[in-house]
Amino acid sequence: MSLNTPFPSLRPVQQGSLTGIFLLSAATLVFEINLFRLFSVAQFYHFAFLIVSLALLGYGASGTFLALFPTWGRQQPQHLLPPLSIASALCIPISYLLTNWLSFDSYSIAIDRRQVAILALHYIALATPFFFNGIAVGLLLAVYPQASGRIYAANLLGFVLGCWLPWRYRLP
Amino acid sequence: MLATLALPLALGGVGTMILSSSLAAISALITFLDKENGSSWQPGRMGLVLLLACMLILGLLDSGGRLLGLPTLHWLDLRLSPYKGLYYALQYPGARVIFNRWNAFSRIDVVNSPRLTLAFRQALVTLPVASHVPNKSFHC
Repeated sequence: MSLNTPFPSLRPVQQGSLTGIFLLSAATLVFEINLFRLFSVAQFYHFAFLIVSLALLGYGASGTFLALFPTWGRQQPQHLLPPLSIASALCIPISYLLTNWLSFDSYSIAIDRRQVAILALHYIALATPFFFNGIAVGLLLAVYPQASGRIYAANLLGFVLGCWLPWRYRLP
Repeated sequence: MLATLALPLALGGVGTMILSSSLAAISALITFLDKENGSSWQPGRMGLVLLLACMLILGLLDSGGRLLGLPTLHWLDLRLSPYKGLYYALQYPGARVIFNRWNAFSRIDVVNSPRLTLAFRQALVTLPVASHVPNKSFHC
């Protein structure tokens, strides 16, 4: 994520923005860990490892996007947090429904070229929540470099909550 | 937030997906209502509340149905790969899932059928009921 922004803000980062990042990060990690379970049940366990690359793709794409558009959203990043969160909230069920209804058939990928396109579509659809989360965190880090510690703290605490919530659903 | 921490264990894969979407929607609502953001756009606020209400209803219908043993939303149900053992097992005449529980990394399904003796694919092929199994089930 690019930190060399032409718009470093001297204002302190708002508490609402930090809370938003915390919840959005938690939502993203809950989604990621849930994808592990969904893929291991619907497909096979080795498909669960695909999720790590999906998350890296989404976060990497967000960093690339911010680097390619160094002025986008830098003036008032807090105004972009609600639409980014809404986009994430909508992309999570939509990507689930898409991958559920347009199932990837790994056994016929050698003879059915359509499966390659379906796999690519799965990657793009499932990476979007990570992309929006990456954009939100990256924007705040770029505009409020002096508050990077608090932003990272909100982000990582959200990740902790996101890891803990699915763990709660273990067998008693 | 506290409510999500106190959620029952009944949330399955679909319920957790709805939970994650709801968390993102709550994040949107909090950042939207933040005074510093200056977002007093009424339709946007109404849209967010509607989105959250939809998520809540979906979550209640799915998880509540699962908890009470009522039918859940079938269009949200996870579709299994036709190569999975459970998919084969459910091809048996009269086969039905009698227990279904998600855990931290997977799901346990218990299937009951008067004809079910083994759940392995090779056993399925050799049994007389193999004719009931679709051809695509025998792909390797």
